[in-house]
This record gives sequence, C-alpha cells and structure tokens, in this order.
Amino acid sequence: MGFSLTGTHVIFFIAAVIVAGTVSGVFIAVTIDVTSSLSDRAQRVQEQLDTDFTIINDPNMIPRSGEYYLFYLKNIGGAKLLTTNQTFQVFINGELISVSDYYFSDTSIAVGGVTNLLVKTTIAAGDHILRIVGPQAITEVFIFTE
Amino acid sequence: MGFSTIASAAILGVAVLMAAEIITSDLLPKIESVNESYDDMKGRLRDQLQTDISILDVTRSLNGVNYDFTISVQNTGSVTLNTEDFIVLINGTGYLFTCSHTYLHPQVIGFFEVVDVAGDGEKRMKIITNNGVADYYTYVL
Repeated sequence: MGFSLTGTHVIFFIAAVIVAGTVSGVFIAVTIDVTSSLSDRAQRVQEQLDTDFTIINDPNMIPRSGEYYLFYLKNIGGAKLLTTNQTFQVFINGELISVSDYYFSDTSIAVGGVTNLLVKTTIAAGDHILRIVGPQAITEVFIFTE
Repeated sequence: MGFSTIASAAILGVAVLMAAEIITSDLLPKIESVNESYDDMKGRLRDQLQTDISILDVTRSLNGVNYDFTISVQNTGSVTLNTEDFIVLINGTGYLFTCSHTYLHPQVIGFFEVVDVAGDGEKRMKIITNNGVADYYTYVL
C-alpha cells in the first residue's frame, strides 16, 4: 500500500515532467521558427530601404550604341546595387524586354555610381515609357521621346 | 504532487528564458539594422529635398575640329555637393569632365570643363548631382 502510493506519486511526477518537457520543446521550436521568419523579413525590409536608383538620361535625347538604346542608371540608394539582367527587369511601353535583349555594362555599382543599361528594341517616333524593376521590386519609371 | 508542479514550472521557466534569449540575440539586432537603414533613407530623402543646382552659363572654345565647353553651375540648394559623383550629359550622351571644386558648397559656383566634344550646332546639356537632382541648359550658337 505504501509503495503503491509512492509509485503513483512517482508516475505522476514523471508524467508531469514529460508533459512540461514536451510543451517546452514545442514552445522553443515555434519561437525559433517565428524568430527566423521575422529575421528574414527584417533583412528584406532593410534591403528595400537601402535600395534606390534612377534613370538620369535626357528624356529628349536617348543615345544609341549600334542597335541598342543607351540608358544611364544611377545608384542613389545606401548600398551597392547588383546590376544584372537577373536582378533587373525592363519594360518598354508595358512590354517585358527579353533577358537576351538587354544588359548592363557593369555587374554592380557603388553608392553614387552610374552604369549603362543597353536595350535592344525597336521604338517608333513619339513618347515612350521605360519601366525598370530592380531588387526588392523597387521600380523606376522614365518617360522619354524618340 | 506539489513537487511535480514545481518541477514542471521550473522546466517551463527555463524554456521561457531560452525563448527570450533567442529573441533578444537574433531579432533585436535585426530591428536595430532596419532602424538604421530607415534613418539613412530619411537622411537621403532630406538631402534630396534640399539639393538644387542651376546652370548659369555655358561658354565654348575651339579645340582642333572639336569644341571644349565650360559650364558654370551654382549650388542653389542648402547641401554641400560632391562634384566627383556628378554626371554631365551633352545631347543625351555622358562625357567625362573636370570641375574647379571637389565640394560645391551652397551658393558657390563651380566650373565644369568638358573637352573634345564633336559636332557643331545647338547643344542640350544636363547636369545631374549625386542624388539624382538635375538641371538643363541649351547652348545656342
């Protein structure tokens, strides 16, 4: 009788510790997941805040280099900008330019730096809209006349 | 029974402390970085709003069969500008230049020299500062 009472207490104790341990484990695992997601999100927000660029061409006179139109892209953000046709997408008058039809003269530009964006396309005379979507979906719209 | 409650509470307490440590060591520095980036962005926007330039005059001189241009630019804003980050476009094309001032303070006039520009006739000039603010000037013969 005494041992069965002690045994019951021991069983309850072990069960309580196991339940507490399980709850703790789940709690810590969820905390790690949530913290990791929030960390990633904060990193993306930081990149968004640091990214900014602009097209500095004269809208009345877009230079050409052979069959390519030449646009000057300036990094006015707070961090180095990767300029490849994987990190940037180019639209002219709403149409996406194929990856093989545009390229940058530099793979990255420092803060304040300028790179050349060369776009191969056929543009009729008149007003056109160039839209460039960069990292973190930062967008720049440039209206020019051919 | 009482002891199992104490033991469970101890285990849960340790778990809460561990969770707090994970949050403070991982998340708080990231929040601080985001805050710093936000402050930097506000600083850049403030500088942009306070930046302004004005092209006062352009003179031309003959250089063989081409021309050299001297562009007078005044800083009409309230922020000192680093002219090494400026861009000069003549008829839409970028040109290398030298400037009389490395730093253009407010109300100071700097002289931008662009040499060996081909072609006669009207020239449309655009000068862009380091933060994208620009001014235009049309040089007419």
